[in-house]
Amino acid sequence: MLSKERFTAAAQKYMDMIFRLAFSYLKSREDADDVTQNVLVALYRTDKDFESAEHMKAWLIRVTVNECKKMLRSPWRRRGEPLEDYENALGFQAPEDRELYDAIMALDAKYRAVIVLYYYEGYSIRETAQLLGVPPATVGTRLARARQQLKFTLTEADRL
Amino acid sequence: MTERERVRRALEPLHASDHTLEEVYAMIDRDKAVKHLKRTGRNTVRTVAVVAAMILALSVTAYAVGEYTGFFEAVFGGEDAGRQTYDLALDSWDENGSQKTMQIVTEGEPVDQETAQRVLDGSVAGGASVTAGGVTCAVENIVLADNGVGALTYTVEAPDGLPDMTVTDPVWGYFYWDDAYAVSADGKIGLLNAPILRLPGEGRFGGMVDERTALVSATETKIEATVYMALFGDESWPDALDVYFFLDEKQNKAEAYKLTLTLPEPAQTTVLTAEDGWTARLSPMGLVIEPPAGNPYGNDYSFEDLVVHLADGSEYVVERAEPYTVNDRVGTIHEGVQRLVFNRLVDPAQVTSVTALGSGQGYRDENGQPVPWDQVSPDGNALRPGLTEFEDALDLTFTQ
Repeated sequence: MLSKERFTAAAQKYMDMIFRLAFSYLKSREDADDVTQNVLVALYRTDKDFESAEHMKAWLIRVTVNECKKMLRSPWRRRGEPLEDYENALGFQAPEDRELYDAIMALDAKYRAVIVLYYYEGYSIRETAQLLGVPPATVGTRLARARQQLKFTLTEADRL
Repeated sequence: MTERERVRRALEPLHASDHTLEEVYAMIDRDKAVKHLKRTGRNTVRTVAVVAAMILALSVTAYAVGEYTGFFEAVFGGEDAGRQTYDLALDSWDENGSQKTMQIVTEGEPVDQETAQRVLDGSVAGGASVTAGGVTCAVENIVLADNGVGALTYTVEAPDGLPDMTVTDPVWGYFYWDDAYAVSADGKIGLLNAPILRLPGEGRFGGMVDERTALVSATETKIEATVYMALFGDESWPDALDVYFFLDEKQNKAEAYKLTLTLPEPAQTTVLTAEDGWTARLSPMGLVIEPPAGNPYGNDYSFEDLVVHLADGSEYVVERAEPYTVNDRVGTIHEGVQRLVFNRLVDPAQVTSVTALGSGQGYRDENGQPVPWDQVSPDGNALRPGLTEFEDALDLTFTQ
């Protein structure tokens, strides 16, 4: 089990990453917060001997993905504030950042998770495949389709 | 601005709640309080566990090496091997929480026993077994090739009923971290009792052996399965391998059900080369593909059409995109080295070429030159400034 100091440092370092991935799956602030808390409690309780920060991060991503699946299957998904209210309160640096955010969130959940892991977290296709439990070719296909959809959505937005 | 930087800016505003850590500590404190109330009965359990471990230490036995006909069938395919279609449950869920699936085609073929004996002569070893608490875990045989691939067969047997068995009909197995998930034809996922393989000194939570488990048969008292395995990167097989059998979800018996196998001499490989310095190391049970030094792809390349061509004019499709065909058992990639375990026996002497169609992604510098993958991000976090992404089509033919 991690010491309290090491746990706190890890929780502070990774909680936004966990939340971001959970939000990309669930599109709900409340559910993503619940998943983040559950994953951090799992980290506190685990007796795993993490070999490195990367090992811990990959483990956290796997647990987050599993928690999100459980949450999606659960009949107890919380209903919280309207998503739009939450999104309007987010501090984007530029209007085009909000446009891209909206376009990403309009994608199917399977594309959103790949986008977060590949683009945001910087994992390779193989690593993303391992973390999500799908063949690498599937990740490649999802990335290509996500890019295509994003380009289409953003081009359409420009035309409006 | 690169695509990665644009996505980062778009998702950067998403942050966990300010109260996350407070909530987590409150949850942990509640958990501690409940555990305190339950503590009374735990010493008894501990005593039982220690006794079980002591009995176990005395009951590990070595197996003699026997005939390998059944073993080769279990690893490479018996008379019933052929074309099959599976539903693979995806990490994708619709708005109602239902899991989506995709179809996978596999094409097996019955093993030629004479060829198996010839090309794997000396590369098969007998296993070992361990018994504790009424459960016997046994590795029966193991076979290895020196391009870092291998397979073993194992059984878990308990006359009074297998512990925590949740799967009786898995047709596809995945292994990630500590859990093995099997997906049945109807898309259900369950835990499969799978051994975990570790190099000596790695301990339970190492990860230098990747594996996939395929069930041969299962009853309420016995499970028979085959494990296909591949090392990461350029590791070579050591003299011994640790095998942990995890028989329940919490894996708290893992240390008790541990075997150490003495490994056989790995089967030799044949080196094939392709354009631009790509190499492939072929063995009777797998293929290792390595891009040239200084390549821009690292792990970011994949093949959608990978075919082994044989002297009699036939071909073995290892992977193909349409229909989605997966005739390899394990695929790993580490620092650009891709390792695949075949689902059938291949006689390297009969291979004329290996063709690979796919794509690779990398970055170019300001002068339009591809940047070696290990120089893209000097600090391991941020990209070197001024890089632009590109994608190459790969069309390779490997020959001797």
